Amino acid sequence: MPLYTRYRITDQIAAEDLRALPVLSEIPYFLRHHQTRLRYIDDMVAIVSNRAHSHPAFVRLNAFHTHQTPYAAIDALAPPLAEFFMRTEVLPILDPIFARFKERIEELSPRLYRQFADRGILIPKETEV
Amino acid sequence: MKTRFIRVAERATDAGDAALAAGTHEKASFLAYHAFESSGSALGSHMGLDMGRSVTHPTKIKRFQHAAKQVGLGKSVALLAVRLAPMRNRFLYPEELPDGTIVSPEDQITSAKAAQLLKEVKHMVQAVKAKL
Repeated sequence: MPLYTRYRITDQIAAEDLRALPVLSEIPYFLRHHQTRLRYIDDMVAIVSNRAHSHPAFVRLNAFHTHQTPYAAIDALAPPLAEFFMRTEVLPILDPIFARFKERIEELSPRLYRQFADRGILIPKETEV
Repeated sequence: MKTRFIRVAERATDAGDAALAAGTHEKASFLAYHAFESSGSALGSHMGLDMGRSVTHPTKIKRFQHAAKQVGLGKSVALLAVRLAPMRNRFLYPEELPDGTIVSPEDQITSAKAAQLLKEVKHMVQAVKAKL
């Protein structure tokens, strides 16, 4: 079962329904300049606090990764997301998930899956051209 | 208050060194977090922000970042904030993964990464101290 998310960062419908989107749309911009560091990071799902506000208090970022430890995944993501934090003052709280769970998340964690489906914004990994 | 917060931060990094030497690198990592937050409380108090016990951990970090930008420490504080904020509870408690396996605090971070983190936080504490 593929990972299902209700929103994609580029969906127009999300802009109407989720006022925080203009802030969150900056995340892929910062990630783009750190491709080497992010080679072990796959897609991410962002879940925002107070989603109806244009400026959320924080954003929880579930990042699928193939690092040895959760901290290593966070360490890899830190430079681009620190830039995001500095620019927006929205604190990104990283919640790494081992990539081996990605295809089975609905089965293994229905609660997390529901959060992704109802409140998540998919930030897909950019593929190199 | 700000000098007491710095003292808390410095003692936390000293305790972190001892924890590293004892092979309990996850404790050193938590103490790095504690030192970071305490130095943030020192700077926040210096700037007139409420950094009391009723303030949540993420809010303290956001206020630390806000204060740090005003004294030229914004970038280094942001970098440590992003790496430390999500790890606080992971350094303290076992975490259950979606498949039911349990990750102990000592398996959340390697000893080498913990030593690096503590070293960076020590520098941060001294940088904040110089701004008070």
